[in-house]
Amino acid sequence: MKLRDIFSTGAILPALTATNREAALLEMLNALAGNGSMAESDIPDVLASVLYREANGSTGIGRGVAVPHSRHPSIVKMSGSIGIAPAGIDFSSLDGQPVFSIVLVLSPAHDQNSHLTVMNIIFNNLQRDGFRKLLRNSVSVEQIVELLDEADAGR
Amino acid sequence: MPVATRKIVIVNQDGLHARPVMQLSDLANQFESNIIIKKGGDDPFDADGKSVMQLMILAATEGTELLVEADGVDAEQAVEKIAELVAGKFGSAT
Repeated sequence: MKLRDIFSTGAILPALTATNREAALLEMLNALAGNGSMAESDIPDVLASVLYREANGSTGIGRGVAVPHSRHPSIVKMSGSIGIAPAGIDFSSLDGQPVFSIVLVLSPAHDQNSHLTVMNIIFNNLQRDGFRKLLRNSVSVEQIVELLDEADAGR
Repeated sequence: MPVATRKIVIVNQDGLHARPVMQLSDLANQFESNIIIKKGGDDPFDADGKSVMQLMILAATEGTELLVEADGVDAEQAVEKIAELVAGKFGSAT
C-alpha cells in the first residue's frame, strides 16, 4: 500500500489557516470532502469520531507531529489529509509541545488490516528525523508529494 | 527463533499514560527480542514495544485488552516481565 494512494493532492494542505485542533481537523475534512473522499454531510460525524479518539489519548505523539484518525462507517476507501501548521497548534501532545504536522487518516470501519498497515507505514516514516523535518518545513503541495513518493520508494 | 505471546489487560486506572509508557518501553528495551504490543477493536494498532511514540498511540485505557508478541532468544522472559509490570499496575497504588 502506498501513501500517495491515500493522500491525494487536494487534501495536502501546506499552510493550514486554523489555529486550534478542532478547526484544523475541520479544515482537513473539508479538503477531503472537496476532493470526493467523503461526503460533506458526514463531516460533523467524522469530526466527532476523530475528536472522541483524541479524548481517549492525544495522537500528538511528540516532536511536532500528530496522527489523528478514525475508522468510520461512512468512509468507503481509506483516505487521508496532511496539514502543515507553520505557527504550531496545541494538540495536548505527550511532550507538551505544539504540533506542526498533522497526518489525518480515515479508514472504512470494516477494514482493520489496511488501517493497521497504513498506520504502521506512517509511523515508521514519522519516526525518521529526516522525514519529520522535511514535512514540517514543506511550503508547497509539490514538496509534500515528493516526500511521500520518496517514502513509498523506501528512500 | 522462539516466539512467545501473552494476552494482557490494562488494570491501572490511568491506563497506558505517559509514565507507564516510559516504564513499558524501558523494560522492552532490556530484551533482545522484537516486541509488538497489539490492540484490536475499533481503534486497532500494532505498536513497537520499544517505541514510546508507538505505545502512546495505543491509547490503552483501563480495561483494554492487548496482545504481547515477542520474537527472539529471550521472548518468553520478555512477555513474562511485561505481563508482570502491567498486572502490577506499573508499581503504583492505582
